[in-house]
Amino acid sequence: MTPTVAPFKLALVRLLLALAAIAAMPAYAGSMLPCSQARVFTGAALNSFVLPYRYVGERATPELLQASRQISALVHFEILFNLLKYGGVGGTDLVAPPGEICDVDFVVSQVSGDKGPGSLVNGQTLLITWGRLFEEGDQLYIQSYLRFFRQGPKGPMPETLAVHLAGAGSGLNLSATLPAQAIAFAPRRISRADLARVTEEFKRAMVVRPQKDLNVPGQSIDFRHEVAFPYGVTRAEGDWMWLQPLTSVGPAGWVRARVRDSDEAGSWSLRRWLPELDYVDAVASFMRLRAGSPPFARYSPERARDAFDAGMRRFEAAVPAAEAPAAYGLARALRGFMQWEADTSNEGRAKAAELFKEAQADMPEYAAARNLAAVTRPLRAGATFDAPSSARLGSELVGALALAPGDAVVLDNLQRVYKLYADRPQLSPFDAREVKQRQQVIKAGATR
Amino acid sequence: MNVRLPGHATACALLALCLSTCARAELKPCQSVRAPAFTVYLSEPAFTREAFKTPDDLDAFMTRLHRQLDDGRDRRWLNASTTDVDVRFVRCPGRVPSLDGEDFRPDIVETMRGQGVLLEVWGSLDARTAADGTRLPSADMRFLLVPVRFAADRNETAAPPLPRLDYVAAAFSAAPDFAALITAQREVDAFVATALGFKLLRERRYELAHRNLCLAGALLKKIEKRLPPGRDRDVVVSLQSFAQAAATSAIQGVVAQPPAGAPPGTRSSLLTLQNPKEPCGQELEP
Repeated sequence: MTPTVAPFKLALVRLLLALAAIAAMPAYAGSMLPCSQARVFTGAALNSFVLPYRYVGERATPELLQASRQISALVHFEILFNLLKYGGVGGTDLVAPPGEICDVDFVVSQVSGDKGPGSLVNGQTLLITWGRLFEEGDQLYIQSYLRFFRQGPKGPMPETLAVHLAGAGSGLNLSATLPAQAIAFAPRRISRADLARVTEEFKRAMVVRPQKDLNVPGQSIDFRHEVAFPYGVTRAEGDWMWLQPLTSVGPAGWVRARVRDSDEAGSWSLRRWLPELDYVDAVASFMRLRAGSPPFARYSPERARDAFDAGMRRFEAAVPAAEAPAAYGLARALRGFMQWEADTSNEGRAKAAELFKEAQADMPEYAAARNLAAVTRPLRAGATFDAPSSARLGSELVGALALAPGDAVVLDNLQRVYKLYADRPQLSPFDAREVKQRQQVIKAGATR
Repeated sequence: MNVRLPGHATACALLALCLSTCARAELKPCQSVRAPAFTVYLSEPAFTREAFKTPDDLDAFMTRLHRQLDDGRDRRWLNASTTDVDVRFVRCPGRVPSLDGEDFRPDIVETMRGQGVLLEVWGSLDARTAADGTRLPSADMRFLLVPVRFAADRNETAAPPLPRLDYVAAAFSAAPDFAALITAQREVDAFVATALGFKLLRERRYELAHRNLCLAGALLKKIEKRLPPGRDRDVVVSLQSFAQAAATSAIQGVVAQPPAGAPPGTRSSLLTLQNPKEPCGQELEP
């Protein structure tokens, strides 16, 4: 047993009391819930779950367990306060009872399975952040993971591009997904003393004010990582949100979302130790943009791009490319997707295709990265879709299949390419018999 | 200082400074995980006083390295499991292989193979202090690809059985710790995929073998690009060729083994779409 047990039970009682209120909360909100009762905010286009940063080790001292809870709570607040600028967001700090593990797959199935209120609806998006904590001497090491998706009609759906290749007297419709919608970050080091200081300074910095003015004295949020603090943002005016606690605990007032780099709140920020939180912010801007279909208000593409660039700029300033190739590669692909959506001209497509090529160079072991680069290669500046290009496309897609034989998108693309070969033999590197056999193999593979 | 250990003589010279010495080298048994999971041994490296002040410091480092690498649960949650096979990392306290790998006699390798060990990782660790006071660690790591060494002991393959790589902090932006130094570039993943792919190939599990060998090839290619010309790069290039040749064998194996009851030449496996001359598909244009 740990010192956090009693507060945890108390927190659960408070949480259950507040649950009904949370379900009806507006589109800007934050809360804390047990993993087994994970639920999203109905009106929020973009939801964030922070799952426990669990201690992985054999000496689970009360101090280490407290540190892991402290980190989860701080990460939740940090992400939430970054997200507020996007509007239509909800953030939930999910906690696990002592000795239990909060299973990410279980949480996803809980909220994406059309189970009524609290489940994701079509078009809603979710970011899930979780992590691990291990120690070496006086140092703590924190490793973060991020998974993100948009709810489709039948569950989580991958972010997809429709690619039309025209040329050689023919047209070809293909598709491509992001290289990945989840990523592991490298472990970061923070001393126990620094973690304690972050917590204290966070408390001081998180101030709600009676007026929308940073010069007006305010009251500090009583942030305690071990105690539930359900609250909602019931009004939003510009960059300011009215923070309203749902229980009798905590003050109400205006708080300003972090909108600009200059809003960085100083040395208290956990981002100084965990630059991946900037990465999460950038991904959030991308997903907020993707959650643009009714009933969710569309977010400004320009603002999303600016926020994305700002988040990635901060991350890239802290983490060199050589130390995080997959994170850099995914960032390039995300940029490419935004470019693709924003500019449908040939030049726009060429720029996006160039970004996808760079993403693939950073992530050669990802089948979806190879697929994305392959299907958009004919759109790069100076490229054409002709017979050699058509032959090359088939070969590159087979390369993607080598890394993920069950990838439905790659299989579908290959089937379409082979159909093109069958319909227009002058574009095919194979004779008719070989093409037919290949079509049969793909068909059998796709149904397995 | 870029600490490099270009040869056995230098390695032993460094080891003379170590708390763990060449004379102490021994191969204590280590516990494997149960099948069907496969095992990677994390053995104890030799180290200088500049690397760790006490054996307790080494112990703390090894514990953390183990925790860091053994992240199967989180990989599954990332949907990033690329192998469909459970690979677990095991710490081997007191097991200190010699740097030249001569402890790995054929009978020992055979036993390890029988226990499902894919890879053993060890080496030597050192550090120096830069003029600005920054501590710069360096590592000279060894990787025994057990299934590959097993085949080499039987003259069934000519692959380089004992890759070694130097890691220097100068390549990093900030002073990293040893674990970051060793794990950042995913060499361990590349070697696990190579060893696993080769083992599966020998077990005629061609599709899974091919997938792992192509994954290994992609990771090794990425590693090669960041290495300067020299011994380390040559080793990685050589392993790439090995993985590619094994991937070709996987394709040929599937072609030669049609589905039960089907006439020769029947194609059902997606592997039959691959070109044996380019077994992992065509490289994307630069």
